[in-house]
Amino acid sequence: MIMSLKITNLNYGYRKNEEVIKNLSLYIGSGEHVALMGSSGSGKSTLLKLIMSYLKPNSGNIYINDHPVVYNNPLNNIAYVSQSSVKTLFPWLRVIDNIKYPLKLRKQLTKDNIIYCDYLIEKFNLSHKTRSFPLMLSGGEQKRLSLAIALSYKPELVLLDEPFSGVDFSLTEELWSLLYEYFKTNRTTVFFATHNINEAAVMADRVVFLNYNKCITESKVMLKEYEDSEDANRSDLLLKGNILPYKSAIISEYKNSIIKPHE
Amino acid sequence: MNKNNFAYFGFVALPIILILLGYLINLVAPPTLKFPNPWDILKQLIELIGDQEVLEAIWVTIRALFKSLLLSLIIGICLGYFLGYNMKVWNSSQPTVDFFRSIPVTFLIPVSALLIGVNDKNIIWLLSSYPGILVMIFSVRTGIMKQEPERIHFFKIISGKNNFITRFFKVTFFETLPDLFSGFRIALSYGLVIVTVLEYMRLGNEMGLGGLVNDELERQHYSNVYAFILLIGIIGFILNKVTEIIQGKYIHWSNENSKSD
Repeated sequence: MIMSLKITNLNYGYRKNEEVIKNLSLYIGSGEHVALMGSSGSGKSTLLKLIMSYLKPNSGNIYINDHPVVYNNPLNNIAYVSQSSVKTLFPWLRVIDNIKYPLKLRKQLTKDNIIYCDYLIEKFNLSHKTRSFPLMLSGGEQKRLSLAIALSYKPELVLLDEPFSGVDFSLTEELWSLLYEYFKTNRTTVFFATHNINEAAVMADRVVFLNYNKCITESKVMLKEYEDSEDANRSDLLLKGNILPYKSAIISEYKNSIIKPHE
Repeated sequence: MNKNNFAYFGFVALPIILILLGYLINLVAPPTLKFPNPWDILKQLIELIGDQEVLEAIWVTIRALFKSLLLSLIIGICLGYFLGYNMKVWNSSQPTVDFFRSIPVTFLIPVSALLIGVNDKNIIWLLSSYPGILVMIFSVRTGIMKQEPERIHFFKIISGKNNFITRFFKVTFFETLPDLFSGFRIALSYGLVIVTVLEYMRLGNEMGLGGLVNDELERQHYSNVYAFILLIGIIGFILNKVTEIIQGKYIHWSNENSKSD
């Protein structure tokens, strides 16, 4: 079942009278890819943590496929990649075992799934590190490992918190395409936080901003528009400059979202 | 000085310096100090290691140490996990734990004498497990408090389960293992010190290394006294080194923050 995400009147603050998220409502349709942008400290990571039930909202509701998200009780078929990926890796397991771990825990470690894990290792350029332990990897490699784990059990809703921070640029573009193709083929619903306009332009269908007043603003730029372009590979569009007009529009909206009226 | 030079200094140069220092003390110290020639101590040590009585004493000491460690591990780990998971119980029991922590083990001897008798052969390992239990409680509890909450939640996501037992054995146990092992090493060191001190105090009815030190002191065989002290030190060093190697090899994620980038 493809997942949709609905958030209504969500409020959250780490301390009383200091709301990080204020009266936030948002809908993400099944199979949609949405980028979440906003300045540092605007609450992007907090929102993702609320969706995955790691934090308890002060008020408001989150629904995944019309099922309410209950605090500390994550739904079965979601995946999450943390901003600091080392926190979600299992340092006592080797790279290969980390990737297979969700399947092992779910008792789905079939021959086909093992082949699929090998495919992920190759695609995420971790073939030379399969016997290493996560703490032996660089920051970028840890991030790639986290992404590979997230895809290993074929989740239907993927939450990514700055998924490519720390990954070197030469590999980033390749991974954007890889992930975009994966999400499109599997009709995975994706909600990802990013500071990178290129990343948003290549991977997202639309962009939302967490703006100065802690609420969501929808971008007017619909990135799906260039979906019908002849170029199959989205990052090719980036290289050929085809998405420059979209990028400019996003940048302008992004700036508006973070500037307070009195400034 | 790099890491290898330090190791060289610790293993080779430092013992030589200590032996030379021993010679110097032997030469200049007044006879009342009764400090023997270091060479005599080393000769005695080599001779004593082959002695049947000494081998039996080593076995008695090590057996008492392992029994005390086993008791410390069983009680300390169970209580550590229980208190680590129950903050309310921990907060209410902390004054009691702090109270017992302040009592030196030697002051428990009169109590144990009343309960089990000073000549009971079990008194040494029972008493010497006391600091180990406290160390294990604190270590395990620290391990639980240091757990990465995001990793615990992530485990719930990827496993598709919210089962405490599964989570405990698949995540919490491994997360607490580095602290548990560090606690074990401290308990081991404390254990050996206390076992030999209690043996020296003539508790129990078996002759351990501490008892031999006392015997040789009464006989005024000072070279033997120092040789036994050296032997206890060597045993402690070997046990600590073995556990350190095991920790480094099998609990390689001990220092999570020192990752490369």
